[in-house]
Amino acid sequence: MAYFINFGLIWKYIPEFLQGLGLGLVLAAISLFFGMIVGILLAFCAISKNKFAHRFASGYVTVLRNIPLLVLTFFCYFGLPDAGIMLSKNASFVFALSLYAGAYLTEVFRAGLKSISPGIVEAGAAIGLRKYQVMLSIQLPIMFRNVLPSLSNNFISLFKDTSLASSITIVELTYLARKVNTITFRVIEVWLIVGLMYMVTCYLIAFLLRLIERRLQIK
Amino acid sequence: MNFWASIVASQTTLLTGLWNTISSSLLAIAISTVVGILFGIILAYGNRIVKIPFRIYVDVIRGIPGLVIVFSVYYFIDFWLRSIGFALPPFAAGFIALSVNAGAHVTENVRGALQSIPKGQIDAGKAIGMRFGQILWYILIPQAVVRMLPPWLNTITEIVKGSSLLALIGVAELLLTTQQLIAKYNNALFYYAYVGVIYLIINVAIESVGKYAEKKIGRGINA
Amino acid sequence: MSQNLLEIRSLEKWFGKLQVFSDVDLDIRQGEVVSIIGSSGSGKTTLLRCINLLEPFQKGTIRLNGEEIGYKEVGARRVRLPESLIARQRIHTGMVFQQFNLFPHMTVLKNVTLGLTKVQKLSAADARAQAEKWINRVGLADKINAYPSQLSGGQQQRVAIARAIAMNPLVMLFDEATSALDPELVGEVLQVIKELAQDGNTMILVTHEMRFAYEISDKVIFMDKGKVAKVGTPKEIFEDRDLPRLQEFLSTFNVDLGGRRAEDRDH
Repeated sequence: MAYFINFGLIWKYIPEFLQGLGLGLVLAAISLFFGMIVGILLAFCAISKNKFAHRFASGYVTVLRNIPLLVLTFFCYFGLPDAGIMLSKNASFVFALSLYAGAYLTEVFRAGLKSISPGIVEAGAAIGLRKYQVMLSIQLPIMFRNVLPSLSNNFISLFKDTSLASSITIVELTYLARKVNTITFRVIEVWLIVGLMYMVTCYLIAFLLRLIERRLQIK
Repeated sequence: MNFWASIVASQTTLLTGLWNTISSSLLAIAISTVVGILFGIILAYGNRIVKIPFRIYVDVIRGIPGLVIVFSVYYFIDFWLRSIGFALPPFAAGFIALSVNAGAHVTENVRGALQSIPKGQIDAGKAIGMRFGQILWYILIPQAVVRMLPPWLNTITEIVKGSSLLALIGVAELLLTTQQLIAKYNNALFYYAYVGVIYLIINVAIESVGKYAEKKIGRGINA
Repeated sequence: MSQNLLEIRSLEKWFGKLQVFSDVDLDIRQGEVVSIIGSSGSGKTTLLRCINLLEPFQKGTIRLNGEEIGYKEVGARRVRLPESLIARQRIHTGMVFQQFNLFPHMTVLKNVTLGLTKVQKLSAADARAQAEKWINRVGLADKINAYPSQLSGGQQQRVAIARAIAMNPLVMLFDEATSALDPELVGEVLQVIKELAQDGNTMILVTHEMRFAYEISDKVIFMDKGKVAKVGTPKEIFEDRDLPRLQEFLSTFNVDLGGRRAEDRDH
């Protein structure tokens, strides 16, 4: 049985592929948003002097970083209903990915907070700001600029992780790739094109985010 | 049957799954480390043209999700083997895919570790008459190992976690056996939590061994 | 006529389009101590690195003990020798670096024995004996099992000297051996270098320690803008009255130092 590379047969699926890619980006963006909330809260726990808060943060990070995202995804989608928590496919995946991202982002934000010299925080206290005011008006803005490059990298990782959504039949790019693979049997073409689409998207995001970073950098 | 009774009853199935997770991870760790050291040395010290294919390998792999690599490798190899009349065991495709993926990361780690060693070390090796191979073996690699140990441990954890993806191509590793048990006994909540804890234990164990090794081999460098 | 141990003829070195030095000629006899001085960027360090074949050079020849090193003529073409041959030729030159460049993952002893066992293929026992002898000579017998990070800069540099001289080279090269040291640690290193000079070792030093260069050298070379501007005895160099660039350079080091010492000695 001879096999001739023929991209023509795949061509008509490209719009569908692009939609799937878009869904992946949306899932990643939403998860990044919730993950950042988790990350910021836990980062403040991690640097706090309260032992309990500190342990909770480091425990969370250890657990979430050492469990496969796929297990977490299945846990949230198939497991949580046993506990009476019913989420849609998309919601449960975003939930899982946000929890997962939260662990990585805690580390990012913790490092970002630590890199702020204590003098700046003390200066805030010295002019009479309350603790939460120091956090909101001093620590957070400085930290965000410090961690922008890591945030970009995390977003790209999250985007790649959205391929796991295919495992719970969310119709994103990897899911479509498997589907078209089964329909057309154009194994080589499908996976080459889909791999290329992921790659181009990742490098494009990296490029765009680098532009934004440069704009926001403290001169 | 309650959860713990079912766990006990399915002991052997789970252990087979655990064995497949561990063996595919170990194979991937071994292969990606050998590949990564070799490619990393080439990227750090090779000539500009020789480097190109290795650079492409690393950058392409890093731009593609692990799961897509798993599927691609699985379908590509399977497709090719079928055309010459063989069937592909998913396990083989699985550890190869994990190796291909992790190999790119180890390559970058090795390259970074080697390039972070001050150039004076090479000069000093040359000055006492050593050939490049000797400088590499006695001076650069021992120092690079210390520097690349933390990211390498990270990669190992990623490999162990990544091995769960092999469930999706039908390798009966931990996750897939867990799914089979859930099909039999239900109770997805506890089973997924249980298997999560097993992964957690494996990775925490790796981490603590790694921390110990870091201290052991870091003498003189991590003062 | 005594034969020159090291003969450099019309050496020329470029970094891309930038000429580092040209027309460098230099003769060094067995047992001579030669200092190279000059402002930074004058090409002294690069010259030393060329002698140790750590840098390629574009023109000229270096002969060590009568044998041309680093390059050979193939027909009309000049080709750099393969690295394996160059490595063998480097055995005859010992180099001490400004940044010490000790191997941080090895003890003092291992730092010194590495070349002896792997390059000179001495047995472990012979290498150890040889290394211990030199580690004692630089006064670090009690640090033999320490790692470089546990030593002061001065101690590290003394280990580096032991590592180089233990290979029994024909000529020792010192590249600003004390420039990276805290002032209070300079003396102990200079003392070691001085003792090696008194033992009759052939040495070339690139240095900013003018007083030391004056005392220790048989010959001083002043490099300026990539040329050998003047060669002479320490006295001729430090009491120079003809070369404005040299006087200008020396004045930045408290010019009186050399002159006054010279007069002291005359009395």
